Amino acid sequence: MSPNLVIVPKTKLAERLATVVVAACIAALLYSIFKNPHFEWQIVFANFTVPAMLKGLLVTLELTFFAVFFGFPLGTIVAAMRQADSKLLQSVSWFYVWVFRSVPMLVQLFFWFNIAALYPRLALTLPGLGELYSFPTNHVLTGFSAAVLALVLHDAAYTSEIIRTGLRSVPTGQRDAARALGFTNSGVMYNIVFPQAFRVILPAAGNQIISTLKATSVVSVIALKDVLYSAQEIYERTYDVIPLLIVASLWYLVVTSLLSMGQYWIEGRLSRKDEPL
Amino acid sequence: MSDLEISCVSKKISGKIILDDVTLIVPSGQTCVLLGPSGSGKSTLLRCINHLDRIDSGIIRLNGEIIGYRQSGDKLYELSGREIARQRSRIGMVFQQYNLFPHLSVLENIVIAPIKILKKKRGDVTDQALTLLKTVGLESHAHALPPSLSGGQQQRIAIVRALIMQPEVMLFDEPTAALDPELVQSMARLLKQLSEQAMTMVIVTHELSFARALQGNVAFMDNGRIIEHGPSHNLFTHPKHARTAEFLRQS
Repeated sequence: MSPNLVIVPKTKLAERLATVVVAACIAALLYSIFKNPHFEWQIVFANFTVPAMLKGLLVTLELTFFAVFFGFPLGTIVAAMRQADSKLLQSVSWFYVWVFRSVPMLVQLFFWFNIAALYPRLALTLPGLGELYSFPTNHVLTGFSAAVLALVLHDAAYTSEIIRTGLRSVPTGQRDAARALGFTNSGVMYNIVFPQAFRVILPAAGNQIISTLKATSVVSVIALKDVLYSAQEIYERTYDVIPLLIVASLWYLVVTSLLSMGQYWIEGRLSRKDEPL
Repeated sequence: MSDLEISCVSKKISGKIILDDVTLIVPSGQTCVLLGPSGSGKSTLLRCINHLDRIDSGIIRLNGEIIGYRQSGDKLYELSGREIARQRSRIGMVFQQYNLFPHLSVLENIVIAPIKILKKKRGDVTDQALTLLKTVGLESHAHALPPSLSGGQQQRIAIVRALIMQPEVMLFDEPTAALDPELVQSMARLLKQLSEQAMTMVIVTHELSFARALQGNVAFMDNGRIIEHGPSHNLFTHPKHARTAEFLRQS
């Protein structure tokens, strides 16, 4: 029994083979990307930061911001209704999530964009006082506000499920223990439930914001000038379809990467040992 | 005079009687062991004492103050969340699964309630917490996170977390249910120390050896009723009721 025998780990043949195959594919892909003249990289770079694209980027960011800014509070309310004692509130919450998760975003967008066909005028009417204020629906629900409305309602349905799952991930014993110590309901939520639910909510919420960002691209069908529509406007003039689609994709990649980085940073902070509250 | 008085308390959960006209008085500074088979209603009774569970009828008083309700004429109106929370802060409770807050260090688990609820100074409470941790031999774990500790350690921290609020009564729900047998006796010793310091305690258990070791008064519960109530040695050696005798034989 010599102690000087050399230990040889077993060779992972399949993995080696896969590595070679994948490397070859990457090489072929890169070769085609840079050698295929139809990519027209010079057009991609020329159009990447043209004012029309940057305006489109701003619209995309605005839509995402409004969708998240209003969608999260609305989703929180829907989630809270689901936890309520009232059967009616529970049912309304369930129904809301059912409808807005089931109907595709694109269909919802068309709906809100064409809502004037259903309700031509919006009016504020109080019993006894009659109609206080009224205006044509089309004045309020322009393309942008219809898009925001559709995104918010759609987002809230998903967000409410994310928040509900997060709250349910905290065992009831935690609430019991906090109540037994003398915390009020809001104290229980703020000190004990939310800090724990947050770890479950955050990664899902991050994914939700990213998918909202991408979902905003559907607004191009109602001629709202977001990143995608701006790219389309340019290529309809110049016929550089692929290069402009690459420009749009690159912008989505940039923003999504920034959002992911923010998400990882916050998650990293949360997974550290908590500082005193 | 800080008696805990439970009078004629009844409770149903979805039609099933859980507590059936329970009356029990725990005089100040004394220990009452609620003994009985599982499903006999003893844990529910405990949770009613700090209004974690509502009662359907009857009345619970601590120090003469009605828990969870305000009397007006011949009606009891449920108190606001804030008022109930204030009452709960005077009642310590230790849960079967300890329910320590996993996102907070041991020390934070202990000091959060005195700081947030009693508005005490962090420095003072921290000193007090470390002293209490020392008495249970866990001062070196002050900065650990609860999930990294053993069941017995978590249990003692849960007790310290309740004690630091200087409660008028301590409630223990099956404190030994999740402990290995060796730790049961040391838990009994710890609780006896508390009783020597004249802490009023209600301890729920179905474990005979533990109940014996605790001494004090024992109330035997079955089917939501207190069947027999008396000093530990009497009840264990000369049970008056056939059901008690049967339970003692089986265990």
